[in-house]
Amino acid sequence: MASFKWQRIENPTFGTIFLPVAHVQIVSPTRVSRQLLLAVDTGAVVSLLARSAAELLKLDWESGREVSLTSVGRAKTKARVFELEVRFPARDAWAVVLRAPFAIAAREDVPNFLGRLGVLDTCQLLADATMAETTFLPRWLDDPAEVAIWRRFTHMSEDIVERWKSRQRPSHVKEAVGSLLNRAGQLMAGIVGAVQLHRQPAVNPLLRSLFELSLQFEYLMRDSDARATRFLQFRKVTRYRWMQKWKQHPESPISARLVRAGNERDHARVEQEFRQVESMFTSGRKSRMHDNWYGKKIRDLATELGRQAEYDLWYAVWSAWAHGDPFVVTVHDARHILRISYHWYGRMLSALGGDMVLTNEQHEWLKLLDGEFA
Amino acid sequence: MTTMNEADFNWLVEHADENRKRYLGKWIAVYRGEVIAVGDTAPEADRKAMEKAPEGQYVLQVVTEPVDIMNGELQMAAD
Repeated sequence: MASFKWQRIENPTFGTIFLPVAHVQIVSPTRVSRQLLLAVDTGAVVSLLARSAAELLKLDWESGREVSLTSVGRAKTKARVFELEVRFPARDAWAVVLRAPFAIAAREDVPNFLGRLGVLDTCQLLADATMAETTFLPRWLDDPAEVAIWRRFTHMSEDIVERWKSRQRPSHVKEAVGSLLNRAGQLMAGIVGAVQLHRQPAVNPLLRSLFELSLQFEYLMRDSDARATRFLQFRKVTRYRWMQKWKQHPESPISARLVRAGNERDHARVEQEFRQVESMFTSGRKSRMHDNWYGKKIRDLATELGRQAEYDLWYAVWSAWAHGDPFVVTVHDARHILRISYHWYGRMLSALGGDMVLTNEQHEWLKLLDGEFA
Repeated sequence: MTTMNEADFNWLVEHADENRKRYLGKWIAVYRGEVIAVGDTAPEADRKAMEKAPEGQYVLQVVTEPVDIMNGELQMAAD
């Protein structure tokens, strides 16, 4: 990605101000190129260069389309418009290369800047006040059809989830379902956030979690009353096990901090709550404690739900990635990543749909997510 | 092939105030952390820069006040 530090300027009126600038290579139609430092002006309709830039880039002044530019103060400036190539340098693979109209003013005393047309409206602009820099990134979705699918997906998902939440259901079911849906929403946000920043490999563990969550959700919804209880009660098991680990590692500064944070009465309460639910999650002759609330291996859960192929082809390989396996499978295509996510989140929505009346459009949409997007 | 000169861009960013005081209204060319050419126009600065550095390897900038302080140059709109 192409990132540029802001210029810090001391101004008598406003004190310290920061000016976003970019270092670009401008290439003329005759392939004359020069490196320029230009201001970044999100308020400007079109990029602007001073008159002498035409000569610098060996542009035929008369061939430019004649326009009159109007500034905020309504002052007019005559200019000629030329189509130029703009290249943003980057250390990684995400250099942005654009073709954009540039107005070249008939005067020399104008600021030189990048404006919206063909530049700021064509790529993503991240104004990072923390790092005091501006980053230019390519669009995260190029195809308008994919943008439409994303919009439809978010709209449809919100509608189904909100409608389900407004239904009368036992409170423990609502709590368990809400908890899993919230987590899936956070994972979706993480996946899309990584895709927006073109950080495709970062989505591997998120996709893996989304798949696992969708399996659990589907399983829970098949017998929501009993399984929601198990899901919620299992918190007590994990919390107790975690607390036991503090005691197993008293020498660790982390344990010491955690022990200090809670008093002995809390510990006693956590253990008491665990003992109350312990038998729910114990099975076999040796009374072995389950590792999760659904009491089986994730692969067996996938098999039970008819999703073993997805487990073997995606989940297993991304688990290997998460555990540092040298073999790596990364989906680099944003469209493909999103479609995998739609499919798995869609399975959750379908499971919700089994518990409510959906519109025909929503039925068709979920069928599409389940089939074509798989 | 042109090499994008990140160090010279950063030098321009860090010396914005200093350059504004010395070169306001001028085009400057920066190469290896040094202003190697100054001109009233881009071609003039470019011609001078080419005498001291390979063509196109330096960064050119016209030194102006920030656009919002120029009172009215902020939003340029094509009629």
